[in-house]
Formats: sequence, C-alpha cells, structure tokens
Amino acid sequence: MPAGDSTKDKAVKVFVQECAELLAEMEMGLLRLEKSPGDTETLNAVFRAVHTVKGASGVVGLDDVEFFAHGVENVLDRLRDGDVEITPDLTAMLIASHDMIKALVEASASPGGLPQAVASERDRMAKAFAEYCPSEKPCEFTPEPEAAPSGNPLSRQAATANHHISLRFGRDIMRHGLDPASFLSYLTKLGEIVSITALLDALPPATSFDPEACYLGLELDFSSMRDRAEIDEVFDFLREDCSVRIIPPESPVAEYLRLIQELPEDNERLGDVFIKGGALTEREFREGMRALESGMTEETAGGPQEAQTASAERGTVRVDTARLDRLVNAVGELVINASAVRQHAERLTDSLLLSSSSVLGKLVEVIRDSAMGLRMVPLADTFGRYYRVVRDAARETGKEAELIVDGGETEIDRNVADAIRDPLMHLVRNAVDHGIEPPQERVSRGKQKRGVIRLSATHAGGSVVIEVSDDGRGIDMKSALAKSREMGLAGKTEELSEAELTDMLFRPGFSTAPDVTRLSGRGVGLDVVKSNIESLRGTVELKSAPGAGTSIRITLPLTLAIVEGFLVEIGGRGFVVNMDAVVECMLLQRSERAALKIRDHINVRGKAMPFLRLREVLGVAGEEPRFEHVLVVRHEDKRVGLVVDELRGQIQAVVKPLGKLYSDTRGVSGATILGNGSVALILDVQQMVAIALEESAERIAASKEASLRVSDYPEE
Amino acid sequence: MIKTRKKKGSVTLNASGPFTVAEAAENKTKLLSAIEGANELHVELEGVTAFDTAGLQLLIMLRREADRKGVRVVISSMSKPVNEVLELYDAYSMFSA
Repeated sequence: MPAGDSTKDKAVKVFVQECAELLAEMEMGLLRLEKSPGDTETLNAVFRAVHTVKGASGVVGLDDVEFFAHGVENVLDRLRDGDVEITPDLTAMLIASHDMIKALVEASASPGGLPQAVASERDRMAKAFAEYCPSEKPCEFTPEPEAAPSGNPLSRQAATANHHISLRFGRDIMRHGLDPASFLSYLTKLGEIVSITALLDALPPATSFDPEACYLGLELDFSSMRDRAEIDEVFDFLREDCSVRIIPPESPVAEYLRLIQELPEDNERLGDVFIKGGALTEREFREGMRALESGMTEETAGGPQEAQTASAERGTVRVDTARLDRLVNAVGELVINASAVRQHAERLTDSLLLSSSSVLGKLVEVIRDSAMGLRMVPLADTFGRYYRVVRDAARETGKEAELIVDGGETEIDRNVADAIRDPLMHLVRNAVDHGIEPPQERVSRGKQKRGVIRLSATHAGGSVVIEVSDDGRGIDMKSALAKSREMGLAGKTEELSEAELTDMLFRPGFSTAPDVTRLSGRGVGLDVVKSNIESLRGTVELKSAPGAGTSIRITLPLTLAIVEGFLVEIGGRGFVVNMDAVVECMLLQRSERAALKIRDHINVRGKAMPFLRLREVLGVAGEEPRFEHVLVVRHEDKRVGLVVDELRGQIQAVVKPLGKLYSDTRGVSGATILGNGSVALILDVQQMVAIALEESAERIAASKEASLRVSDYPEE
Repeated sequence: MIKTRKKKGSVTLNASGPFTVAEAAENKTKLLSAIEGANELHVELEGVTAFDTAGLQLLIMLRREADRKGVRVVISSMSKPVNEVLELYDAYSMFSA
C-alpha cells in the first residue's frame, strides 16, 4: 500500500509554509519597488523569490502554482533584462500577481480544486501581463519544455555502472569446506572487483572467538560484461547458509538504501562503504536517506528539496508549536520544583545541599530564559503585514499614507503576537480610514500630503507597549459628544470630559464616522479591540489632539507564562506582585500605622502617596498582625503603597490562569503555586493602582463635600 | 607451526607451514598467549605455505586484541599465499601501523 497520500500531504504542507515566507519576501520587495523603481537589488530579490516558488511548487506537483509563477518569473526576467520598463501600473499588477499566487497555493492545498472565480482572474491576469511583454520576447505562462529532474531522489537511477554485491557468510561455511576467498577468486575471472570492503563487525572478542567460524561480511562493487544470471550463479553454493544480495547497475537509489537498512551494520557506516565503492554518490545517499526519513517511498510524487535546502541554508529549525508549548509547560513545572527544593534546602541548613540547590536554581533560570526565549518573536513579523494593509487602504480611500515602524526588534510571546494581529490590523485601518485626511485637505492644513501612521513598540517594565499613532485629523470630540447623546449614553445637556468621551469611543456600536466604509466605521471596532487586548491582560488607552492626530497605546504583558515576582504575605496567604512594578519596601512604623486609619495617604520618606490596605481590599480574614509592611509599587508614573503583613522576597511564579469564577476579580490577574504547594494570587498592579486612586479620589470627594456643606464657597 | 621469541617485552612470532582453518584452533591459543605481557608483537609470515580466510580472521582477531591491550602489532614479512589473500580482500589497511 503506497504511503503516497499522507506523505505527499506532508510535502505539500512544508511547501506551503516555505512558500508563505517566499511570498512575504516577494510582497515586501514589490512594495519597496513601488517606492523606488530603480532598485535593481530588490528586483533581483523578488525574482529569486518567485523563481524558488516556481521550482518548489513544481517539485510537489502543484501545477497551477508552478505555471503561473513561471509566467510572473518571465515578466520579472524581462524587467531585469531591461526589455520592459517598470511602471507604477506594472508594479501594481505584480503586487496583484502575488495575491494570485497566494490564492493558487491556498486552492491547491485544499480539497475541491481551483474555484472558477480564481481561475478566471488568473487567466485575465495572464492576458494582461502578455500585453506588457514585447512580442519578440513574450512571457510564457505555460509549462517549460526543459526536462525537470524527477523530484523523488528514491526513484532516481543510481549512476553506478557496476554490480553491487553484498555478502554475509554463515558461521559454519569454513567448517563445511567452503572458503569465501575462493569465491572471490572465481569472481575475478568474470570481471573486475572494482572495490571490496571487508566488514568484521561480527567478530567477537578473543575469548569467545571461534577460530573455525566465519564472521566475515563483504561489500563488493563488481564491473563485468556478464549478465546478472551468470553472476548470480557464482554464489549458488553459498545461498543456503549465507546472505547474498546483488544489485544490478543503475538500479533505483531506493534499492541500495533498502539494502543498507536491512544489513546489520550501522547505516552511516554502510553509506560510507557504498560511497567508497561507487555504488552510490554522496548526494544520492544523503538525499535518499533524507527522503526515506521523511517517509517517502519510490512511488511518492516528489519531495520539497528546494524548500528543504532553503531552510537548511537559513540555519533555522521548524518546531511544532504544540511541542514548544509542552516544553515551556514542563519548564514551568521545573521552575516551581527547583524553587521548592531551595526552600527545603534553606530549612535544613545543610551547606552542601544549599550550594547544590543554588547551582540548580541558576541552571533552571538559564533553561527558563531559553525556553521563554523560544516563545518570543520579534514584533517586526507582525508589523510587517501592515505595510500592505496601509497601502491598500490608502488606495481604496484615495488618500496617501505610509507606515513607519519603530522598534520592530522588540520581542513578544508568540501567542500574544498572534492574538494582537487582528486588533492591530483594525487600528491601522482605522487610522487610514478615519484618521488621515484626503491629500488636499492635508495640504490646506499645512500638513504633508502623505499621512504618516506610526507603529512603535518598546519594553517597559514587565510589559510591551505598542503604539499606533497617526498625524491625521484626530478624534472629533464634538461628534463624539453628539453620538453619545444620540446613543443615550449621555444626557441631552450633559457635558462630558475628554476622558469620559474617550471612554465612549470604546463602547460597542460607537462610531463617529459619517459614512460606513468597507473597511471600518461599521461601529464594531474599538470595543472588540479593547476586549481582545484585555483578555490578554493588556490595556488600551487613546489620546487625541484635534487636527493633529490620534494615538492608541496598548500595553501587554511580555509573557503569559513565567513572572519574576515579589512574594508578600497577608493573613498567612501568599500574594505575588510583578517584580518590575516593585519600587521599594519597608516596615510600617507604628506612628504611621496609626495615622493611616484617618489619613488618605501614606508618608513615604516625606512624599505622600495613595495606599491600599490589601487586607481590606482582598478581604483577608484573621486578626491584624503585630507588624505590617509597605510595598511601594508603580504603574507608569503613579505610585501606590500596598500595606501587607510580611515581605517574603523574590520568587519565580509560573502563571496559572484563574478559572472563570475569578476572571472578573479586579486586582488579581492570575495565580501561582508556591514551593510549599499553596496557591498564591498574582496581583495586577495596574488595577491595584487604579483602585487606590479611585479610593483616594472618593475620599477627597467625600471630604470636599463635607467641607462644602460647612462653607459657602463655590466649588473650585 | 608457530615459533615464539621473546626479548625484553618484544615478542616475535614466526609462522611456517599451513596457516589455515585446519590449524586455526591451535594457532589461536599460541597467538593469544604471545600477547600476554608483551609491548610489541612482530609477526613473520614468510614461511607460510597456505593461507585462507580463517588465517586472515585470526590475524585480524590478533590485531584487535593487541589494540585492546595496547600492544603494537606489526606484520614484518609475508609469503606469496598470504599476499594473495590480503590482496584479494584489499585488507592491507587492516594491518597498517
């Protein structure tokens, strides 16, 4: 039963992945060419990408992709030669052809074949391209006449002109009076033994060595004019006790490899022997073994060789994401356990144990960082998609806009990167659609004709901050107010502050766009973006200056998995705060402690800051401890003192998500298991700070009201 | 027949007559005992009148055992029958220093 289908599917899958990267390069290059048509290096890069797609698709048997890519390659070739001029229209057509190749790949890789719509579009494009090419050198969209080599290294014929004879003698033949040497002598009468390798792997150590037994194996390469039958005859007497295998010249590579696998000695070693003897070339052996390892057989249609060499050249490895996640999970457990070991070591005060566990801890840290690093991807990968988005959106709306990316090397957890792709796409489209003004309007406002959309990313504390900003018209606060009233979110005469209006923008169904365009403005945007980001434990903020532009800032955790934390204790329970948010910690002086009962702020080294008694906020039962401590934490520029019982120091917390029951709890973002097995909640500093500020504001408002009632002064 | 000469850790084995499967058992014992306590082993085969695969195997076994014990083995001379077999098997590399 040929394994054909599933192995071909595998081959196609690898091709699709490789092709995606090539197509991305093609697109990038074309976008660059659009801006600078004279860039020959980029033109060459685009050509190479298409050329590789053509070759690789041919090898996996995706004809539609191959033929079309061939045509595009032709056009690019004419451009390179200078037979055709590069014009904006042609570049636009080439960009469209990239989309077509993408569509063809998708159609080929899925069941059901090529949809009629795609096929017609493809034919239309082919015709359009043909018009561009000079009649003396037309661009062919049909298959090349050149004979492509069979893509399957296993079905190819080996180059050798010799017979390969493999002999493994039976132990007793010499006792029966047969000597392998005499067979060899006889063979030399029929032809020439071009190469012989004696293998004595079966030779036992001296003590068990039986001097009358035969332990010999032979690999021969034999050149002869005699036919196979005659050569076979030579070994007739041996066949009963020995293993005799003869492979005639120019047999399929698969046969040699099959023999290699069946022989007892190590495959690599046998490979060397076969190569030395000339039965296989190094290339035939390597490619064949690779094909076998990937599950191919002689009947398989062909392998993605070009794709394979391409990735080998790039020096990277493809890893199944499920496998990666399992590894990171396991590392997480490792971190917890190493931490537990250290705690026990500290308890037992055995110095050797302590130093071992300390070394262990350091090693675990290294592994942890590596594992976490594996999950990180640079944001440039995500951001790169939006160049096209901006270009297309600009064209569709008749505006001019360009995307500038800043900080693309900033890394983020791959799961987070996947999750923000769509929200960011929406924001970028929004910026072009509603933010950037039409060119004439911009000029009349004294701006550059071309609008700029900036995507930037940086690390800040334990978070990644991504900003999408544009230099367009900004949010029209008047319309926002009108819309709020219209939607009943604000009273007819009620005035809303800028902060409140900004909040409105994130409400479902809210849109101040005068017309609903295809892209956005349907009013399903910002609220979905916000909830998506919040589900990743991130936040969204919007700032806008009328006439100048809008900026949306997204804060996301660097990683969802392991957090460097500071452990505190309240009522015997552990709570963890992200280490990056911790500013300082101290003992709460008795005088200050008493004062906190009436004051609304805490005094830290002469500075007043809001505080939270976590005991109260988190509802921890139990009596008050003898001493309390303050952990000063910060979010952006705001600082808050958290009053806790005990400070326990730094730990590594493997973040476990909270179940549905607790997911709405404010101030808590996850949980972790401590070394002693108990569960500690992870505090969300940002939310804590917000709560502290709210409480502080309430208290101030309350005291203000109280003072208002007392005095007759109007509110300031 | 195998004659042994010992001189301060250097042992010389001189084989004469047939060195084939028929003599193999006897030869094995002789060869192995010669390695005991030796630093160097010289094997003289110019007197060998008949040599076959069994003989070759024995020599290979000797070589391996000597390597294991850190004893240097050298085939210092050989007769035509020995030569022919070694050529047939292209086995010279097995006995190079």
